[in-house]
Amino acid sequence: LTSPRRRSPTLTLLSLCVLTLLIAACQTTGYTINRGDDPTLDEPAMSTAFDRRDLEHLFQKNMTNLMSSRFMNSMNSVNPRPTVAILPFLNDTSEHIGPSLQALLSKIETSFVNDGRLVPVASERRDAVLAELNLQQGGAFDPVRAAQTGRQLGAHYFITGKVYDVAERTSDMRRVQYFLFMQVINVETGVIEWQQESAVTKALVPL
Amino acid sequence: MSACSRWLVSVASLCLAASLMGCGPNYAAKVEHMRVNIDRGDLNGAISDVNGALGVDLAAQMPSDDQDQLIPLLLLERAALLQATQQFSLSARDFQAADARIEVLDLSESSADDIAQYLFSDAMGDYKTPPYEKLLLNTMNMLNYLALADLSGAKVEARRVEVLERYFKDYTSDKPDVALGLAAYLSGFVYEKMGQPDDALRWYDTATRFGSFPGIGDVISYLMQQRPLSNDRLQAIAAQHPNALPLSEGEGEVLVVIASGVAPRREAKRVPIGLALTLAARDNTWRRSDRYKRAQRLEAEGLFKWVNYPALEGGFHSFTSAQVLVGERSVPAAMVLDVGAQAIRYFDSIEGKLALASITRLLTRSVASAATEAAIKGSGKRGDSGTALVGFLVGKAVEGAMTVADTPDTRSWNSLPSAFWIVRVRVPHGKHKIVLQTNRGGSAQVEVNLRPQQPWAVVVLRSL
Repeated sequence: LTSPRRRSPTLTLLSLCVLTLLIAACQTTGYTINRGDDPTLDEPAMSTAFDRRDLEHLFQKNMTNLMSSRFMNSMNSVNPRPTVAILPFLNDTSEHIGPSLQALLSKIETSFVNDGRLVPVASERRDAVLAELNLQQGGAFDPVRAAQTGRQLGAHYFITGKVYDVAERTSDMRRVQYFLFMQVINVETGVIEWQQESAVTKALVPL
Repeated sequence: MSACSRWLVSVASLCLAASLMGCGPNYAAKVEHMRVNIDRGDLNGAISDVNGALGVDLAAQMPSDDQDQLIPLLLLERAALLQATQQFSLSARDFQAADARIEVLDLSESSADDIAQYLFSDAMGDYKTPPYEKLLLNTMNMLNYLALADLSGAKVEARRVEVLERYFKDYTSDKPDVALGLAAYLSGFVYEKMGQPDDALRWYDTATRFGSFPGIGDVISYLMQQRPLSNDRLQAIAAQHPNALPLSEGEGEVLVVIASGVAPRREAKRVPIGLALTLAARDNTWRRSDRYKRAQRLEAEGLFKWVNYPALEGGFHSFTSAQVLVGERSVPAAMVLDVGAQAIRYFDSIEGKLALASITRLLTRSVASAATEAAIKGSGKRGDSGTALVGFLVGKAVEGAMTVADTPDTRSWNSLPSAFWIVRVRVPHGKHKIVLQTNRGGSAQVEVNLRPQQPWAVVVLRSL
């Protein structure tokens, strides 16, 4: 008869010590946040929230498209220059990006001023009309109400849009795709003169 | 074994003991003052206590130490307290910060944490929020934005609830949590006030599946008149309220949400191994295991063995009935979510696993102590009483250090209310005084001003 092999107490003890050290070493959370597969966006993000760099990225894509569009080219020789009202963008995401969207309006205004083909309505006047119409909260993208606002501002065109997301979560990942949708609408006719959508993906993924 | 090996074993054992001494913060002890102040109704004192725990002087400041694993939970504590003191913007900031951090912790599945929980301490590893806390985080933050009349911000929280709802449905085996009812009701309110009846009805439909909300039948009925949906449940509800009318010209609406009491909290407790065995025996796999038999042997030998264990204790409802006076009218408040009951149900569902982990830790300590003693004894000459004594002492030092390090996981949201009550009432435009009166003598008073541009108000009160 053979007696069952007994585990060495030294081995048991040393195993416990090694395990303790391993656990101590593994206490950091093994997660990182990336911005999808766009190589131009290699700076690590702090969260899946829509941040300044995402805004910059989507804004550049859409405005580059707008400035070289057929619509803008048709404005080259129009005199006097038509006016454009820049109306608030709707936040249809699961992130609090209100301040970023406000910043977006200023950036669009700056682009139009520098381009020179359309004259933006002053932001103070726009805000006063919006406050009067109580359109600050979320309803600004409604095309009918936006057209009314554009008329009230005496604009020929208005530009507006929305940021929306497709957010999903699995047991080990959260991914949010942000879309910036923009359009220019003729106040008089209601015709959509230009529209464009661009997207960025952010994810909280295992290392 | 040589003297050198003996020293090596002794040093390794003491290193193990020393490395465990810093493990497992006892959360309940850390927030003890805050808990006392909340129970006394001193909310500002409680906020000061959390600020201290966060390492800041003022509620306007955010903590700088992102590595502290208790920060998300402390931010949750402060967010609820700031809401209770009507500081809705600061509360929203804290809820958002906690949400982002908890999301990262929640997604991390560290096997090292699981091993640590079974070997050394319950409180090792990241804090994982139970489903009802996840939902209430977004629900309470939605209330912040509604109190600030910021529908856009409230809609963001409603969308976060939607992501959670899908996650619970698709990726967890849990049944949907009843806390979803209140979250869905408030989300419906948000979309209704934004003029999006389809989304409002979808949320109200979800709300009615989880509870009863006063006046929801009328709301569904007049929204269905605006936008008839082919939904049998909603059609049946609408049919029961044929005379419901939308708000008329000059009429507005006030929604009063009262958060009452404090939900039960986790307390550190030492229980005899026999009781822990009974709780752990709910797990069939464990009942058939060798460890279960060894634990039973320890109990049968009559050894005075205790296990460290968290228990759910305390918690109270601050009233059992309440009235809200709107001008001359008195409207009874209805309880729409019993958070305390939900916390107890959740704890019951995990108690077996907690007991199992605590028994496993007890066995690990016994094995480590015996192994240390045997290793050191084995390294000396047979009958060497000096070596035997060193072995005994180092073995006991290891067991003692592991016992000290074995901290029950008392991490839980201590400032969470125990129940939510609502009153929804129609009033003419203009200023109105809203007074809460409870059967235990509590009262609170606020004023709202409904205007044509803003014909609704949400009043958020906390009663302790």
